[in-house]
Amino acid sequence: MSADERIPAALRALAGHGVHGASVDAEGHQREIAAIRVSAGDWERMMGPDGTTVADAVKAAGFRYVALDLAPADAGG
Amino acid sequence: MVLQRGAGELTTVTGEKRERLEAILRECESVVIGYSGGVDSVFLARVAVEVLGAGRVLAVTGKSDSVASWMEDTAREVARDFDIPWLEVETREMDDPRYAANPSNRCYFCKSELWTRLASVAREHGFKTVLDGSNADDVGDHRPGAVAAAENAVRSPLLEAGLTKAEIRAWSHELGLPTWDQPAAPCLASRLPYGIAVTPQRLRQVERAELALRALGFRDFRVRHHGDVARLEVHPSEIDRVAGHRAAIHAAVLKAGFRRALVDLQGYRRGALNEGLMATQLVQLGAAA
Repeated sequence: MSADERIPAALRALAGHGVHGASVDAEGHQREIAAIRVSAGDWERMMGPDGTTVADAVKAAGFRYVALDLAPADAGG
Repeated sequence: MVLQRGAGELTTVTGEKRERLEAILRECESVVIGYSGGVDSVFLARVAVEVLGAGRVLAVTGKSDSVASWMEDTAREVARDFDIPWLEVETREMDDPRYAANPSNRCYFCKSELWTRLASVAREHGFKTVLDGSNADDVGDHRPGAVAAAENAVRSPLLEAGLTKAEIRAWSHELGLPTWDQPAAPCLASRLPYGIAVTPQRLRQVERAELALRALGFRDFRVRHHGDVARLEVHPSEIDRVAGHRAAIHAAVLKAGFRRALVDLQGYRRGALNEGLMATQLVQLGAAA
């Protein structure tokens, strides 16, 4: 599978907003969703007012939607 | 049924618009109304009964897999509580492969089916005019369903009277209608990205997940279907409640048959699935109906 260059770009965008140690997957039929998994602390912060700013930055990496995983931070997969 | 929010400062509906709506309804003489249980059609049916009398009004709800069960419940309950003559007819848009393929003008095929059925009901019951609940704010939106309405000679009294959504909500509140502050509730197929086939199974997945969120007290949101992934869009006014229900939402969405549950960071916004389409594509597809 060819590398998706949007993933490292999304991770850089997250780090630029102080979100470190995140993982990003491309989901959806057209891989149009940046599915982000973060620590519990970052999850709370991103669900607050910072969320839309971070979403805009990640979208700029080439995603149509930016979304947080609802699974608990320690869940696998 | 519908949770009540504070009325706050509701807009004022001018006497001129009220009179215009009543005049249009009188001109229609007897009416069959496409009645989804949403803000606009409930309001229209209620005013039509007031102006024309119950004997000259029939509110008709199209029943299919794409209609959420809570909308059907609302339609039935409001009709009962406000003495609106009501009928439910089965629609078969799912049998139309052009609809099931889910193009961006999908609504055209669904509404063609609905308005054809309602025109037939009107003929059978001797009613003169078929009405829909389009309002003045709907002009200019991507609404291929409006083409189907025009083809079936459906009139839109709220739009013709120049009533906006805010005015309809205010007037509905005045009339004591429980739908006055109900969020917009398009059909379940609107949760699937264009081009992804509309199937009863996918619609059921969406409905199960949305029912679970409604049970948790959420009222303005969408569960978007992306194959085995669900992407929740929650209105900004409710998004701060997601953290408190994270585990319950996650469990409910997985139970509905999704592999992964996501919450969109930008929250619910109308027409989010149109974001990937160029305006010209939408216009062309709509016109090609």
